[in-house]
Amino acid sequence: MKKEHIKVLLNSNSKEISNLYYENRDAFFNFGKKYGLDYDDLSDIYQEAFIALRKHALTGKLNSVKSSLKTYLFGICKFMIFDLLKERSKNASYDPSIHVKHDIIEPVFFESDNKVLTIEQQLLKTHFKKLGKKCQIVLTLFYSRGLTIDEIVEHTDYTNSGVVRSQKSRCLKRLKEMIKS
Amino acid sequence: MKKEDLIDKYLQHRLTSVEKLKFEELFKNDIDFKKEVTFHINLKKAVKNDDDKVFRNLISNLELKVRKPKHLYTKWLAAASIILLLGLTYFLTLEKKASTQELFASYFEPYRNVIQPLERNGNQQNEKEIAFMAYDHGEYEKAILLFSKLHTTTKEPYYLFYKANALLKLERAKEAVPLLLEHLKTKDTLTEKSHWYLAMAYLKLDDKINAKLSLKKVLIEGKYKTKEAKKLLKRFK
Repeated sequence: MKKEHIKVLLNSNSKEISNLYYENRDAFFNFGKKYGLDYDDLSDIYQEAFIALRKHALTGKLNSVKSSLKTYLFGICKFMIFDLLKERSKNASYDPSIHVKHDIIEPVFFESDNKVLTIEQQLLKTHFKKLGKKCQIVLTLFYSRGLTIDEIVEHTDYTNSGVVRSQKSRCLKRLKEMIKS
Repeated sequence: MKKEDLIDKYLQHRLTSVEKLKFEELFKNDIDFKKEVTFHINLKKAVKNDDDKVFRNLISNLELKVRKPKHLYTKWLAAASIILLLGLTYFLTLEKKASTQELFASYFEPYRNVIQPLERNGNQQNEKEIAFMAYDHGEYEKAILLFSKLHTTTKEPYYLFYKANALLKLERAKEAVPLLLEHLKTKDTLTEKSHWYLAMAYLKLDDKINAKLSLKKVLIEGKYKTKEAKKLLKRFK
């Protein structure tokens, strides 16, 4: 997969994400129609698959993927389509092979995680949202996107790693104070 | 290496095998270190959850943009359906009412208290603890009064959410709707659940159109009660 595509997913810049999202949407609707699903189903699946694709980028899974972004994304879509078809035919015995059309897309397994936050985590999230924008950005880049301090310098206007480090410490200190009060 | 750097590397899966041993040893023997690590793990989950939600919103907005023409079309269809529905017989109306009430009864249950864990330590309790204890014990009238008072003084959005839940339990859905709509405007962590309870309120009020819209929003959020929302939407078809 192209490094620039992974970078777009990691940065999650709305303009770049928008381009990437629309780039494959029409092709997916044509691809998905073959499975007899309606517009709403396909729209739900495409959104969920795109969100899953970003999760794979964040966990580093995409770094070792050889196929193109489109093939991989459609693979996730295909997995989700099978899942939906399986659920709908629960009463009848289901054989996925009947739905395998003549394409080269391999289904890509995706595990959905709808884990509910614990009370502590919810509290942290509430206070995190009350922090200033700068803090929210630094902490998001570090904790969610997995960027190192040096990478944060590259991605932002901070001039050096020392500044990022002290900004991060200040934010954490503020967060801890908010929780104590 | 500083303890802080060890934690940072652990969180980003970058510890070398030597550092890993050092980390494990500290985690086992140093209580403060363990506490600090737990804080960072929880923070990572909280920040990730927020980041995912922001991204999910971005994607659903992108999808909504291209679906607009269809929405306009469905709006006309919805309007036409309302006119048709208005023409239905008294008998059908009665039956429809019964079914939405049944659906409300089988799907609604007040959201659990995640704000104030109950501790029975015998010490003097503050108003917040009393309010949530009343809520947990099913004393909803008392809880409503206290939640209103606490919301006025603290402005904490979650009081709106819990007051609405208590009102729904007392079948006072009309009063719950404005509270949930107000709650949705806030940045509270519980707002991802508000669409579901708003759908419940509309269901109780027999307002199928708004109930459906709220259920669709539950699906867009994709975080809470999505399976139930899908099932309920199918019941409406």
